[in-house]
Amino acid sequence: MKAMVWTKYGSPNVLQLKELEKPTPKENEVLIKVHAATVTIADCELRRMKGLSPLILAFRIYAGILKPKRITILGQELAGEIEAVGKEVTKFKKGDQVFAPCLLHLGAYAEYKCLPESYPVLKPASLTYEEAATIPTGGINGLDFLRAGNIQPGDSLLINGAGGSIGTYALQIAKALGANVTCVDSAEKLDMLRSIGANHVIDYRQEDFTKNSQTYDVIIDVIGKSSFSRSTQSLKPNGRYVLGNASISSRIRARWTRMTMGKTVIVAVARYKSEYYAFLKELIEAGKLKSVIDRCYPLQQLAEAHRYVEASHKKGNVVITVADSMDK
Amino acid sequence: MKAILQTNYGSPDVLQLREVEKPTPKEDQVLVKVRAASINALDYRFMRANPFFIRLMGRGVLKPKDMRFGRDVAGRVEAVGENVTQFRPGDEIFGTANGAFAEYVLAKESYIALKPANRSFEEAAAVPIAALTALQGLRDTAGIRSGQKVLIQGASGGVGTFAVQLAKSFGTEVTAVCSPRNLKLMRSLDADNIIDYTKEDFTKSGQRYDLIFAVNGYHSLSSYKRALCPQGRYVCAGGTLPQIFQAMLLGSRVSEKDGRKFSSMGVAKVDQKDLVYLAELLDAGKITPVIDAHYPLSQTAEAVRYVEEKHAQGKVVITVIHPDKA
Repeated sequence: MKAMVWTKYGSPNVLQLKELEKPTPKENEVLIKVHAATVTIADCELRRMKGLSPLILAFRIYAGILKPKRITILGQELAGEIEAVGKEVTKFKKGDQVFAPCLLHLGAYAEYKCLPESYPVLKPASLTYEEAATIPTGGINGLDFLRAGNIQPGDSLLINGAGGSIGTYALQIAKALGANVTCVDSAEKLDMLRSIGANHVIDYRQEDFTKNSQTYDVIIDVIGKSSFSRSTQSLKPNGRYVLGNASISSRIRARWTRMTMGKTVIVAVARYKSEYYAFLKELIEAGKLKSVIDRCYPLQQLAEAHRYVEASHKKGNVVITVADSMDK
Repeated sequence: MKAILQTNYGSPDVLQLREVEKPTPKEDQVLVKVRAASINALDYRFMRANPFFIRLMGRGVLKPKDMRFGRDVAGRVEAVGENVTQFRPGDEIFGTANGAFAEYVLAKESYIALKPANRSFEEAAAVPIAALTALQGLRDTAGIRSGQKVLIQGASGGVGTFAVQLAKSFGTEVTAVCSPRNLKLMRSLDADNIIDYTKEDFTKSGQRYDLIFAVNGYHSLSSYKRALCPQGRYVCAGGTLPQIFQAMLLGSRVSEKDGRKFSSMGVAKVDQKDLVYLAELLDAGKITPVIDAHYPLSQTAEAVRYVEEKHAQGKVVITVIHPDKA
């Protein structure tokens, strides 16, 4: 099979098309013929593996100290068709259309991928593979951030970094539940955010939301880059601050703020549970939730896609089409 | 039959009186002709889908799929399913059933018990969830023993009024913490000591307790710790999410350092043995439900609004009047 192999830590050029052996599923695994995968900021951070933060160091120990060894293909989510199943698999059969997070296995940038049978979820028929591939990271994290912030109808919500995968999902879910949503991102993404329901938008280059004297019931910081102490001051009494992409130091500060200031600061960690998928499916089927796809790239142009995402231009999701582009 | 249906998630306006089909009992179910029902915090948490995870329970994301509303019930058995052995038509029962705010409701056989004859339907309907919460919190989570000094915070609400009486029935010395308007009520429940929280902060008085049972506790855990004896137990029932999280997350950590233990009890389990135990206490006059107000079924929304906005003294009960009886 063909795959974009992660040959070294570094620039997008380290992703190279290679011919590998097609994997065979273990007893509890399914073999998925990949139709679509995605590129997120996290994929780019992993690819570079730059810096000395404890998370990066831990991942280097896992993936390979000097170069990728245990993990040689990136890509954290996919959608595709079940091609074969292991002996003990009961949930799926050949031909089922699914989407799945790859979690620590990674490896979505390939024609085939084996995953434990507990990972995939049946794809709603109304979704294309491209749309479904964006759900595990964006949809599940977006939902989990809202759950952590206990969002309620009528609440005012600010999403910092709303223009990406997680933000566009969180925005639509919050709107469906009746929240009033303010989105912060760069100017070129604001029209898209308005078009999927944002009540207010703020261009972060023009305006610092922590200084405009507005307060919110819930603030979700997807990118974790806003000033921590000032952000918590933009909370209403009983407000909740949800921190995504949290560094170790902000985790410690979150705990400290919770203990000393009585403000609720929550570090969200996504849960890939069946009730979360059922929740998203219900909203998708009600027509309240769609995946925002900015661009699609064929697998061979993965490096190009990484460059685009890295430049922070991405509006919503960037999708990699696999099966179709290989057949051509 | 008439029933209150929860048509959406939100304010009490989503509760509407509608005409629906009278249900028929299956297998282990009992059809109860409802005479009274009562409101619990659980009801308006489900009404508002607050906390958020209620929407993740498969009950419907945007609005509830199952619109039946209310849990606590008392009434007369009208019919029984084929596998029901403990009850017969005509039995007077109390317990919990999904959809209690209706003229008729289906109850699981194991979720109900016989109502003491000397107690009214209204009194019996006030008991189940609030008293089970107090009983299981004090007995199971905290391990209450006679002779202990027990402090009940939030003593005047639905759970609190039962907690004070149950703690007394276990032979403990009870200190009740409440607002000035509830002092008289606490005296009537035989609390040994009563603290008006507007005048005195019990976490700063130097007094220490073997057990603190906090309904919607609002002090920080470190303050509670000051008021606990070594080996003391703190149990919180309900409360806002941050408070529950704090007890769950920090609680276990604080516990490790010294003998004190902090726990948060989840939702009470409906246990028939416990319902029977409560029926015995009711029968013997050891506990008496405190009822703040009665509302007719048609005004359930008003009643829920009252419970949410005013801190009710004890319980608010819904009375169901059947036209054939009038």
